[in-house]
Amino acid sequence: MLRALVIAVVALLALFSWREDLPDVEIRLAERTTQAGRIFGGYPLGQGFTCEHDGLHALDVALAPIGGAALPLELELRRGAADGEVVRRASVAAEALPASDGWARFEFEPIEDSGGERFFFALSASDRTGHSPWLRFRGVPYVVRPWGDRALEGSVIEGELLPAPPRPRTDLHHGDLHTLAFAMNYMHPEAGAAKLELFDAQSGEVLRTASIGPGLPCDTGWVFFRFETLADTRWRALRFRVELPTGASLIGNAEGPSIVAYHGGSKVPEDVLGATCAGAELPQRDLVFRAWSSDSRSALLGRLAERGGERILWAAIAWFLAIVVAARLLGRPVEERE
Amino acid sequence: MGALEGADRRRVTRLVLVAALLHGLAYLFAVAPWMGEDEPWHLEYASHVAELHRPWGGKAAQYGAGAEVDERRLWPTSQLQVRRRMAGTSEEEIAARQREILASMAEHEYFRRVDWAGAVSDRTDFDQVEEFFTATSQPPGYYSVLGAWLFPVRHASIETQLVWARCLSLLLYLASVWVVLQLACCAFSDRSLAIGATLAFAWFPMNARLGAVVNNDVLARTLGAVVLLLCAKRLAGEASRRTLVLAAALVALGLLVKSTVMSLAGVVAIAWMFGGERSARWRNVLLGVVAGAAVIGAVLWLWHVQHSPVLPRNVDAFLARVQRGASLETLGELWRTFVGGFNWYSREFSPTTYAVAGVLAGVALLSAFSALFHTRRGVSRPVLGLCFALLGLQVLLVVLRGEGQGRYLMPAMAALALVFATGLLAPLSNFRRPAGLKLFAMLLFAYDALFLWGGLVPNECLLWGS
Repeated sequence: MLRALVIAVVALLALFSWREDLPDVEIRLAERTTQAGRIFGGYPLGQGFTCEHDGLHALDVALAPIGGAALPLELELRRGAADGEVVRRASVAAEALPASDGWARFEFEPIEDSGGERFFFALSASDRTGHSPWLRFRGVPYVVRPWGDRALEGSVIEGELLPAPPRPRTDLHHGDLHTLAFAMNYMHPEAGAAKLELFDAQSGEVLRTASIGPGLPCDTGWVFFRFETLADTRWRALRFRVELPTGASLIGNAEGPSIVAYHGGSKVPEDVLGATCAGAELPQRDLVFRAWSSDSRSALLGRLAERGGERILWAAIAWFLAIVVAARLLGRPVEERE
Repeated sequence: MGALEGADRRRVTRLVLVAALLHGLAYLFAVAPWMGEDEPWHLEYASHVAELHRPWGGKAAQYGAGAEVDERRLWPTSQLQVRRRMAGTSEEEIAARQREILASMAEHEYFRRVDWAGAVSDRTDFDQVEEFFTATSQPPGYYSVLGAWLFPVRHASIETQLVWARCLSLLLYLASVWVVLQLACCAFSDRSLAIGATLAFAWFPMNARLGAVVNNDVLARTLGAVVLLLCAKRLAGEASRRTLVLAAALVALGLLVKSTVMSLAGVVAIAWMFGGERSARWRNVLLGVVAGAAVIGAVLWLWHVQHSPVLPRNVDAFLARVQRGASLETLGELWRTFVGGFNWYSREFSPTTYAVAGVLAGVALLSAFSALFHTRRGVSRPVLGLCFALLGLQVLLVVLRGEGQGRYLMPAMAALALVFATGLLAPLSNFRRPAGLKLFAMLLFAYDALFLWGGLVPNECLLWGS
């Protein structure tokens, strides 16, 4: 029994060692694909979330350096709504921003009554930043062509989405296409709208149209053309035409523009409330971030009880008894004792 | 201290089985639904077998020149792959099963737990989780067994079927533990070594966890232990040549379970060549080589007709696969996912943990290897040699396959347990071995505690993505 108790203490220490490593809310992506682009002066990028516990005291935002001088970033935290009361401010100096893909931490005085409350934060800078926040679009992503190595010339770009062959793999693997993301260079907020038209490759019939902006800047990031879901897209051939505002260009490679197709559902947990740009909602997307609140043992155990339920209790009982029984194997053999 | 025998052996067997049952139950409770790697695909396959669809003779997808219709536009690839394997299944039936499983995965927060899957929960087919992936390219052996096991609950909810399928894994884990105890008694005439090896097998966390998930590696692991036991008995002179016929039959069955049991054919060949009379050894070697070539030819043909992904498409693909398999990156991944990987290998321990485990394992392996050349009291050198051979063959298979996943080592898990116990306990004097066993067991229990309560439970229950 003593051995089992010693091991149980080891188990408890191992469990409680997680206390400071459990974010309140976190967007977890094994692979980050789409960045929002530089933050423009006057167009802060933000995100809403519901805090689980009291004691909200820090926010981490995933950033990628995308070239240019690093600028300090300011964070405003509002309660209740994107235009609600500012409850905290924090900043990160330019030299403290990540030199490679990583988290930038914004720390502030703990908010004692944050549990169950809605918060919205916004990141701003004095001018276009050298860092971009990562973004998650809500859908099943399928990378048609990853981030390219060149800016494509022309204000109108046409291309095709084709099955395999002629492609090495199909450009549209799933049904229910609802969004096409394109990699974008310098779309100024006052330059007008970017437009997408989607055609059937055989008949030329216009199937869907979508537009972005004005007022939604994007530089060295991805823009998302959302349209009514097109069900029959699996292994289908489509043509697209993108019309860009003055000064903007698409990014791609020798084969064409960089594209991510989004299919299927878009349901995500209710504790993330979506991204914003200059206070306006950016539908179906979230900044990649994490929020830190209470790191008490009771918060950890509360979450374990809520998410693990009874089965974790039974697991603990069976596991402890297993060691008690196994430890009896370590004693002397029957004959020696007799 | 002497061998494990008589009343003591019966008592140890009882205690080992009760402890293993409790340990297996702990994992059965702790592992959340659908958190076994590829579990949805394995259960999908077996559930169609339980509906009495034959796992061969299905209908291939129509597409390309000459096809009336491109069926890839009509149905997701993963569903066409199931239809190609399962005779008599309809597209609607396959789609409905996938939707049922996906709904359960969403309800049990699978998409919040597995980082590469993304948090979006309303998905309608398996391609939307992983493209071009299916379990139906695997041989049908395990799924036939699991399908028969699921038959009584085939009309129950998919979650009931999952729990029932996991219970089969628990039973196979218990059976494997019992087999390893018999194997340890054959390999060691020392009580501490025998108990140490059995505990190493039963308490190795990734192995115990395999007793709580649905996966064909579960059966491959059990077959590996049984074949090793039969061959060890032959080498130790405790069994006749007929035992090897049984072992060869099990290997043949095993090849219908998973390609990773191919290593066991080598073990049977070694036992065949070196287990008989010295005078007949050259004849046995010759027979072994001829039979081995015939088996390899038959297996390659079987994999070809089964559309197994094990076979590379051409020589270039084979060479690329070997290069990838032998790379440090793949071998590192093999080690990490063997020592402990969580949430479908999307999360890991800290690098320090893998380094410490690596040092311990290295010491144990070197020490055990030296026992092949220096007498260690109570250790059967032929059986230990057989264990090393199996380990070597298993790692070679992983390299040839080009994918470093720890569970591919499971057919050699019994051999590894024996090697670890030998390496860490055999160098001690008889007098010190009982104390050594206590320390060895406490290390195992502590490792298990770190794995379960510092890895598996926090990753599955505490850290969810949004």
